[in-house]
Amino acid sequence: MNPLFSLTPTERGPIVNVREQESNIPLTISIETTGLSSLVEIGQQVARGQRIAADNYGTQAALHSSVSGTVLDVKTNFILIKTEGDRIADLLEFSTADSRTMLDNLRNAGINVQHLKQGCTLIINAVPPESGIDGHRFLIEEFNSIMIEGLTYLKDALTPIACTIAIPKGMNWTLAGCTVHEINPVYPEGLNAMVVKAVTGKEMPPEVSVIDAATLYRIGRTIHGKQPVSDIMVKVGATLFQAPVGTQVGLLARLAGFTVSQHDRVILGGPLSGEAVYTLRHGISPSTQAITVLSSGSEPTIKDSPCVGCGECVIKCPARIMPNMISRHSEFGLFENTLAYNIASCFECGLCTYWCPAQRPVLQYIRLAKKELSKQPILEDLRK
Amino acid sequence: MKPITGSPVLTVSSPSHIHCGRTIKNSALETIFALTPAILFAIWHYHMQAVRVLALSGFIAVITETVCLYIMKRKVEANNFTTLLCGLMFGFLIPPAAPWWLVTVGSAFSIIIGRMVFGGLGASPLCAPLVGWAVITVSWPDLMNFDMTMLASELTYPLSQLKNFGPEILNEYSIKNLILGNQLGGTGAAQAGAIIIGGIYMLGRKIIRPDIPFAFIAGVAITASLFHVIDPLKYAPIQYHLLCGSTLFGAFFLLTDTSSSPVGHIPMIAYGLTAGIMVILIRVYGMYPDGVPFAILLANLMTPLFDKIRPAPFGGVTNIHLQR
Repeated sequence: MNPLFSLTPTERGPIVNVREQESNIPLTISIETTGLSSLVEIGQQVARGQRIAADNYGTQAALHSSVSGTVLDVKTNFILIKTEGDRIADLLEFSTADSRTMLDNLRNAGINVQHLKQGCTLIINAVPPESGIDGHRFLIEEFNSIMIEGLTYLKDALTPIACTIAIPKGMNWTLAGCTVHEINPVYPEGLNAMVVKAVTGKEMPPEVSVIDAATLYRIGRTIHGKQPVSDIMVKVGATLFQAPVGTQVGLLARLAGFTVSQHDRVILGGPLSGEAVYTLRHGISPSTQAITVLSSGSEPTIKDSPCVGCGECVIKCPARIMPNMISRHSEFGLFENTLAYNIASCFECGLCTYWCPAQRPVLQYIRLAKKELSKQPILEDLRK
Repeated sequence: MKPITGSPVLTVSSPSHIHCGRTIKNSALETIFALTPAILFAIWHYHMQAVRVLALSGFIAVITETVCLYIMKRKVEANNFTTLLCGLMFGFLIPPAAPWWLVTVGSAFSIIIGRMVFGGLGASPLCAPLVGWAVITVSWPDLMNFDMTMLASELTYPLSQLKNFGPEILNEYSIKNLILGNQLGGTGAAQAGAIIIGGIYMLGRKIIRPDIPFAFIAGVAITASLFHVIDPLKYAPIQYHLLCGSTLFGAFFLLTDTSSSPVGHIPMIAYGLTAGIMVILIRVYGMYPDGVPFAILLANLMTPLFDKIRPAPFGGVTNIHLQR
């Protein structure tokens, strides 16, 4: 089998702590704040764990400084902080009054709770999303008690009817209070939609909440320390790093032994579904699990060429839709038509783009159509 | 150019950031490579006549496409070799002794009517080489008649013999001779053995999926054996239907043309079977001795219908706002 699609976790190597490695030079972190409003100004001194950006509408998770330092710059989408001093913010309060408050507390502590629903089936997804993104192996094996603490809090907040941890086949990971479900370790089986199908037997059921193992650890760590999590596990190449949130990708790539030169690509996440960054000064977000560095080849992977109708994408699509027709309509702005080809079933695995012999950016066309369609007002009755 | 920040200029792309490596260009080159045994066999049988037809049809196809693209003010894309492949496949279908102007007209029509009027590569609803073939077959039936054009050759065209004299005459042809290409037919299409080698190569390299060729061959075999079982004196046995005419060339190269064939396993099998059944019906009841090209054109027209056969989408979500 193609090793690119293997989700079996690799052997655990040593962990490189970025703070210790770079202790002699002040670290500069950059935290992406897209969609949030900044709570700090240039020159302001911030403490480790201080809230620096929050959502005015109360849906997205807040962001916190992972270091004690001085704000260097506040841009539209970024806040740059230079390490200085050793201040630590006040401890957070976690009430156990009611579900709403508990989730709000989590959101203020930097955890995304948008997809968590009351009375659902809770699934902990511990399958690597892509080959090699297995930093959570260390967390499950070494910090099981922290994760159980997080799970207990979540159970109190959500009162789920059942709780399951999905693990790749061959691993002996367990979590107290959870049934274990083994997943065939082949991409895209580790994506949330496929894991939900494997566990519940239903496709995209409404009464399910999925949370990945790294996020569960962050919840546990937040509850345990009463502080927002500042350090996360990031896999760069074959090296596992413990890095503060906002560490610049350039630093991590250098520590992992990569030399990034002109026109290379640096990707937050894996090569099949990750997000490319445009500068090495881009910082990692709290939910980043891996960084992939791809050297530039002679040929571009994506071209502006027409669809030749070979049907590779249709046969490879795990959502059983027609990416070829969706991309053809989306290419010419006929976004309404894509609904007839079940665009809403797509869970963005990226396999269509990987296999397309015409090298079309199929997934990008699908995303464009989805974005344009979701902008439109809801006219029909959705309860049908 | 170095940016001020000191970071190298990174390439930003959309996922997936990696690619399987199979491109239109190398698929076309592999297909041309798979055609090479048949080209060599054709040269062995017909010498310079075969070279002349294949080279001319390939050359005219590339020139025609380039002129069309120039008129359409689009980038010339002869470097992906799909047009050369299209021209070669057209040359495979016509008699080796076809006059030069017939080759030119046919090859140009394949590209203009078969491909460019629909918008070029990938947009054609019909298999392009067959469009040119159909135009010249209908316009100059005498010149496209293998027996008439190839009077100088000692070989005969088994399918017209079958039509005129009945199935007993086919006993003159041994299977070995048919496989070696000792029969009249399209320049390359009649080289049955070499076409099989090319087809196996394409299947092995996964350029084509097995669904369409196998369904087509099954369709031909089942229908032919049904007729043969009903009346062995009136209808030919299966092996002749498979090895004569352009059945195998159609199965591996024409029917699997990407833009005119359906997508998905079940539509592909239905499409192959339909074309296969149609071949025998045309050979038995039609006026043309070889039914393959018209059967494939008819199956091409049904492709949009076959594409309607779809499995239920994942989760059955119909509205984007409901996606979770």
